[in-house]
Amino acid sequence: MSSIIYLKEYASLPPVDIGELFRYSGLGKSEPSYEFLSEVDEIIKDAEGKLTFKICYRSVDIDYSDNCIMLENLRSDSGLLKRRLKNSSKAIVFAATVGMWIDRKIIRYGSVSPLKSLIYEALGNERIEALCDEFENDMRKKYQYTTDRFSPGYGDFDIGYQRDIFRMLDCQRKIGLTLNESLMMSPSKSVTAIMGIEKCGDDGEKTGKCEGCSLLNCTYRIND
Amino acid sequence: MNIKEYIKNNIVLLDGGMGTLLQERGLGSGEFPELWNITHPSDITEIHTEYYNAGSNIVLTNTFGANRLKFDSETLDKIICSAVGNAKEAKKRSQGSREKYIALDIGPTGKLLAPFGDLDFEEAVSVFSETVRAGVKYGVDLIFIETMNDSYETKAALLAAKENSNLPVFVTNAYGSDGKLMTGADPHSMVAMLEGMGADAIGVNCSFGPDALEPVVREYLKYASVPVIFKPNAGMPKVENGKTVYDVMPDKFSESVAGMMQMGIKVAGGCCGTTPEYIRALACIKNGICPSDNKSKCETVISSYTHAISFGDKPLLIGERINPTGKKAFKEAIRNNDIGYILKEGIRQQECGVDVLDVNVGLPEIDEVGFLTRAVCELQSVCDLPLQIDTANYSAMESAVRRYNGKPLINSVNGKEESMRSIFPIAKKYGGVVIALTLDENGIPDTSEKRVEIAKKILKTASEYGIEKKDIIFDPLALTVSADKNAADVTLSTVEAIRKDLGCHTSLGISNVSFGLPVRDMINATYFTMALTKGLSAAIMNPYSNEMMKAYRTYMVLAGLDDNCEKYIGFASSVQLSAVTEPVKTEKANSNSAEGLYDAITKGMKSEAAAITEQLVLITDPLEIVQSDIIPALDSVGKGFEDKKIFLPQLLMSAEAAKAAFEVIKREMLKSTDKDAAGKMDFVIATVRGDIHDIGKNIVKLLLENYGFRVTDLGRDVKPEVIVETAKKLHAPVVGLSALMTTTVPAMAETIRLIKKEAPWCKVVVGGAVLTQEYADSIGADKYARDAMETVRYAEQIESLMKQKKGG
Repeated sequence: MSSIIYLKEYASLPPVDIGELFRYSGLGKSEPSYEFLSEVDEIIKDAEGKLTFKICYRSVDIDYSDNCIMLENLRSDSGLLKRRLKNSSKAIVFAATVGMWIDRKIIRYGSVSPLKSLIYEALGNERIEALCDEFENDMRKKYQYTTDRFSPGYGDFDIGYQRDIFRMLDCQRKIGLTLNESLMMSPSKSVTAIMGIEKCGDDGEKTGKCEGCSLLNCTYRIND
Repeated sequence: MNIKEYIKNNIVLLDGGMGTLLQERGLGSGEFPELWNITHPSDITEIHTEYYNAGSNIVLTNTFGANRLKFDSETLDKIICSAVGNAKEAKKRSQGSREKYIALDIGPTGKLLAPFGDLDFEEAVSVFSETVRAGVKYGVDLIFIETMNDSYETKAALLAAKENSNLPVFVTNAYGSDGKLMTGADPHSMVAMLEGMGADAIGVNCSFGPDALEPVVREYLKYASVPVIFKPNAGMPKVENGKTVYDVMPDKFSESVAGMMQMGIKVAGGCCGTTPEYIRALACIKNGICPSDNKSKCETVISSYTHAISFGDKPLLIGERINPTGKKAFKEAIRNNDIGYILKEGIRQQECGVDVLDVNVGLPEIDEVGFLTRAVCELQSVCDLPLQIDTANYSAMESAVRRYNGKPLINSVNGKEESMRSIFPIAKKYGGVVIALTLDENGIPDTSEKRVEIAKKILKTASEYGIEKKDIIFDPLALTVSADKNAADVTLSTVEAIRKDLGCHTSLGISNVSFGLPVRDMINATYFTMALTKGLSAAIMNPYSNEMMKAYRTYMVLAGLDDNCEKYIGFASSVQLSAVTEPVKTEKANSNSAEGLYDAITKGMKSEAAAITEQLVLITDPLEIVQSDIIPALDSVGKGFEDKKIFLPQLLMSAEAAKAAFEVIKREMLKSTDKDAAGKMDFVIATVRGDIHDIGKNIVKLLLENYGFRVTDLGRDVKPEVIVETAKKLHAPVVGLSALMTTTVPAMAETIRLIKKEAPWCKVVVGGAVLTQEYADSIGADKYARDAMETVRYAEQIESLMKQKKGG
């Protein structure tokens, strides 16, 4: 097995999904006001060309021992992870980030305009998800059958596995992504995740983004 | 021969990659390569030997990640001892009589520095220092700092190298495809900072193959006066037949690098994917190239953590508003430790178009060392302009310059012995451009000639400290024209003489000229224009003054410095707008216009709320406005939020509109009293240790302030002791804590325990994404608040309980 870490950088992504941005900003089902919309427009324009869309990834073998699933040094008994990867013998482990710029903006407006901070925050969430979606699509094109991505912190897959993924991917050097003592990532608009490569499609297991999360009352929860 | 001597007449060859070679020899994924110095010394020695034999002058020890964040001190010492030993052994075994050196390799810590990460700057300096000291102890010839993608961490490493050794230091950074470091710095700003701090050679490594990195290297060659280093990857990796290969082969690699040698590169080697073969090819091709010397660039330049600004291209504006002199509200903010006030002034001046911010927080009764340093760090987390650090307190100056991320302006030195003795060592050690005032022990001379004499004396003394002429800017001192009718003219002649005769740049604090005169702005603006025509390079000025901005923008057009008059046209349209008395902007015609303050707040119209309040305070008592308009509007919005009819963005828009109204009211009230009359209960708020996100906390703070509470915001990642100390100092009845992730809840629990022990009167309200009622109960919180409104209601409850107690 090669231990090569690949780098992928997207020059651009599909346009911002305003509905998602509204959802992340906590707008609920209400109508955005003119003032809010113009703030959002201004911020989307400000961010044009400022974000970087970087991913580093590897493919690793999946093993099992003593009721645990193993991806190299990552060893977990998470039932949800095992279920997600049950038809896979290999997985893509990746880390993605949209870069530092948006963190600076969120902090810049923290004490001046929390509303602007909130919109930058929501934009960052929308963009990092869009980046992961784009990458997933590319991997799906390459491997035909892949599972949806699964991240440390989802359900019973402990957030502490973030450390193992960072070790596997040399994130700091490859894409400038760091992890602090509390397992928070900087830049904050970043994702680490695992997706299984399957031999054949599995129609029964495709579930929504929020499946398995224990925060049932979360404002952002999607029930589909 | 010392490497610094050798490099003068030779192109120096580095080694190539280490990681790929170690993997070929069996290094596993996740295994620390640094430990191989101890466990596989012969492998490491062989690799070094191969590089020396291939033609390397310098090999880098296998110590990229050797620091105490990854290894305990004993292991660290062993690693570095073995690593240097392996390199020495290789040097002995290798063939050829060419000059050979051993460099201590230092890579990033793997942690991000505060404010975006959780590694403190001084902690980073200390981590690097330990590695440097070990390298010195075991006998390396130079220190090589590489693959840094954060300017701040680069500064910490270079400072550690300088403070713990006298060895030459080489520094290379890793750039992204946008030509910037991950944290935003461009090559020009890195050159400014690193040369300012005295790096001996600087450049670029890792990231891409030689061709992709060429534009970045060209920038280095354009701005750098010290030798430039180029150490690219062998292109990008791919897998062929189960083996990792890189897509740029040795012959192509060496050809590209040789092209850059012809452009002026003095130090070359390879990074990821390069092998002894690549170095051999480089050694071959380099023989035909005559090393050209990098010319000294004589550029007067300062930088922030993103960009550099060069003096002389166009006159620069230095915003003067972060200075308490004559500002009641500012003094009040400093006394209250209200850093938010300073940040707001910074952002507002940047929006007005200044190039640099002057930072002065000098008040006799405060700890200026601590507060100035904090102000500089916090400003750098919200604003990317270079700063001019302005203090008469030398300890405060050193502390702030040390923490500054970039190459600052240092304000100021003067011709007095004591001043030069104190300021020049700071400028030399940390880098910086020094503003020098043309006065000395005998005061300010009244002729231009004598001021120029002082300038010459300052230049002479600076050079004794190793500070070049380019790093001194003269302020020939604008004096009050109402006291001496020739004052303005003498200063202007001095500006001209310093520019023409000494070839130095100048800066002027414009507004001094008009002391004692009515409508000072008019005098200031004309004086500013006069100075600009004499060649003034920078002005410390008030960017909120329309007259000053008019003078500047019109001068720029007329001097041919405003392409397509673009800046002027933008400015002119804003002047026209502000001339219109109607506060509602025409472009917002299709939004509902506000009928009164209540309406403006409930609809979330910020500028309207402020404009209407401006009108109201002329005819109504400020407290009356609060009672009859602002509070009812906030209540209505707050209730709508609680009933889930209004959502977070609308709540925030209204809250910000109310805040804009409050700011007008506060200003009015400060006119009549010295203190902020709000006088409601103290509320201390913070995001707990380890938690670096604070948007939720900021939202709660905004709402609490709207409801009149005196909020002390301790910021992000706050230690339990700091929170408790503040609660005790203020005898605060409530502390609000926020935590975003399960991993930071333990820090929250610890904070609560400490509060209950040391400030038992104090109630604790908690909130944050992962918290629930059960969670809050289990860590001993008095209250779990789901959102900002619930926190406000809780605070109101506590306050009314306190009143009842007092009453009873």
